[in-house]
Amino acid sequence: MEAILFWICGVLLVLSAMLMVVQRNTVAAGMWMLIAFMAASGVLAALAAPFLAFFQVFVYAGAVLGLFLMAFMLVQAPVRPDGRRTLPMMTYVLAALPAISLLWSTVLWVQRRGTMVFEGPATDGFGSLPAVSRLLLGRYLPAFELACLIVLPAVIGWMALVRSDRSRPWKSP
Amino acid sequence: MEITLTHYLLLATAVFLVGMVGFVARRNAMVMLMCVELMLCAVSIVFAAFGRWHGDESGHVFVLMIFVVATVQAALGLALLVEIYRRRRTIDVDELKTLME
Repeated sequence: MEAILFWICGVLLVLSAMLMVVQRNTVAAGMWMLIAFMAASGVLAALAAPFLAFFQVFVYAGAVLGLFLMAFMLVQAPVRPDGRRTLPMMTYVLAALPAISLLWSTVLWVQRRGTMVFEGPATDGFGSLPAVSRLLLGRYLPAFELACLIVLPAVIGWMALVRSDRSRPWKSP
Repeated sequence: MEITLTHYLLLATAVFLVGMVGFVARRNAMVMLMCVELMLCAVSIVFAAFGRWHGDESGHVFVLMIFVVATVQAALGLALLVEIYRRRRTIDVDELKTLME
């Protein structure tokens, strides 16, 4: 069961992520992102994390994607067609370095550790809402409070950014 | 075939790489933000996988923190983008080089 879920959702996740990146139409890219997040939710479910899988759909596919779709509607800017980007070759080399090093370190690590098999199936109730919330409101309460502190400036910043102050001079492009 | 921790790590690496390449290669600032979300998603898979490996839900709590950061990042980033678009009528990151040089 776990294997079926992993293979279907994992392949779907990688494929939809690739399609999202190559998509020229922004709204279509957003739809592929939705599929990618749904697939990621399936991967989390395969990992015996039902609460996280539920939350992934709730937060990403619901809140974040709704936000993105709202922004798609407000911003309808044309992006220049490809082929006019002239960056020095060194930029591409520098950009490829972290990607290659990440890939290399993962491959090295996997080679060194060998295949890491999980010790049996997850215990009953692992990753459920009571188990996670006991940790969240117990051992990790300070972290939880700090996360709330992050949200507060975000709300203030959002309101400061989008307030409809039309007295400012508009700059022409 | 049994699914091991290695499978999950390789999957997360693949997703992270796709997001990273997209972030570098695309010029549409909104798609770049989406790529950041994708990378965060890959990291949350790693946290959940190691939570399962150690039989401890601490990894799940970290994923919840990532959710908070991802949401805040999307909200603030999109607000900035909308504001930039209002002023400059573009979200092409190559065009937005007021701070360059």
